[in-house]
Amino acid sequence: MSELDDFCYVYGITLGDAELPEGVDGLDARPIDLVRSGSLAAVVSEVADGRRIGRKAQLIAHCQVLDAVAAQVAVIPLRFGTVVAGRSAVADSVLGPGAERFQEILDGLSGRSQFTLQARYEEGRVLTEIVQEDPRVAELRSQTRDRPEDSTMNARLQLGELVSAALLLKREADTPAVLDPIASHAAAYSIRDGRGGVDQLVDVAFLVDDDRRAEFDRAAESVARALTGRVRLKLMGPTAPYDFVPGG
Amino acid sequence: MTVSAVGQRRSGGGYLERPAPSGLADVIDSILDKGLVIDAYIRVSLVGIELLTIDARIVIASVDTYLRFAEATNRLDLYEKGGKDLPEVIEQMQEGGGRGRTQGILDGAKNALLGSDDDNGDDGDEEPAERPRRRPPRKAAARRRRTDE
Repeated sequence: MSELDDFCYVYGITLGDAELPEGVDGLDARPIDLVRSGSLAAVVSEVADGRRIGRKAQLIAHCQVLDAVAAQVAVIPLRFGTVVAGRSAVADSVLGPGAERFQEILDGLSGRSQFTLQARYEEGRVLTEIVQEDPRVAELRSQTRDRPEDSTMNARLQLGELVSAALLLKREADTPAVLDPIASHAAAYSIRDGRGGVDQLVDVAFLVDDDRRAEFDRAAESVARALTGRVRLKLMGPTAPYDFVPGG
Repeated sequence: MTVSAVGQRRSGGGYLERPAPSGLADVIDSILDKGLVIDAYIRVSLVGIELLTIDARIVIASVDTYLRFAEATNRLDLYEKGGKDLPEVIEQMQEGGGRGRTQGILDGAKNALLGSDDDNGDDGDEEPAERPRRRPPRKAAARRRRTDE
């Protein structure tokens, strides 16, 4: 039996009296398990033989396990891809030495869940604004439109640069209208790095107290209604608090 | 439990999009660089995740971004070609999958990376449903550049 057989994939760290969620499998369909140490426990599964980690299906499984655990009890998500050499190493080298710190983080997460909000412009609407507001954009657009790409490359790059800069300003100007009315109903928030697409406005993770979910929800709905036609809002959650742990 | 709660909320709303918890595909990539990192000497692996993330960001921070923005702006059909008013343009862009198109490059990058190291026979259905339709040459070029590294 090789040492590899003992390797543990570690999803997250939770309280020692936590129970595993039912009907959720781990990476590569391996059953999930708890390694307990003192007042803490780690959610783990075996690492399947010869299976490298880094596939999308595994990332989805990682999130499904954490979200299911988080629906029951506070949990600290670990970074996707964390593998430790054996259950005893999880207990002795991870849970033991970090106990005080983990307990402190768990206290801050208890009774709270993460919701993630995506705000996206209606692309046609915001680009129309930019063309109408900046004569240089309108001019470059008419120079490059319906012309061969190769002969207008410089003008295209200039156009893209101007549009990119204009979008940045719009994001800065529009973010408070999305964020402020909702953030006041959350315990914490964290602005995520966006993908930088044309329609990107802002992505925000909120940590929401369970007993304030209804008011948080109403606030988000109300912002979505106020901005409709120019901005789309998508709210995802509740999930594990990925954005509210150190290193997150 | 969670599912039914979401179902109820959805029926009351209207303006806010609320994907089911299982439909987190939109944000799943962003989980890659989230979460507590335990000490390196205890860890056996973190499977080059940092590399995946950084690589994807290089793709999006390139000249390609500007060309993409220029193209999106030129795609607008406002006044010269006349006749169409704004709401109609927006409607068409939504129908045409405008959101999928603008995000496709990064999705493609991350999917390619996440799926590239293994027997990804079971990953075939994980490509985003909407691919960038008008930019196959440039996307292919981005992939080539990455592969060459």
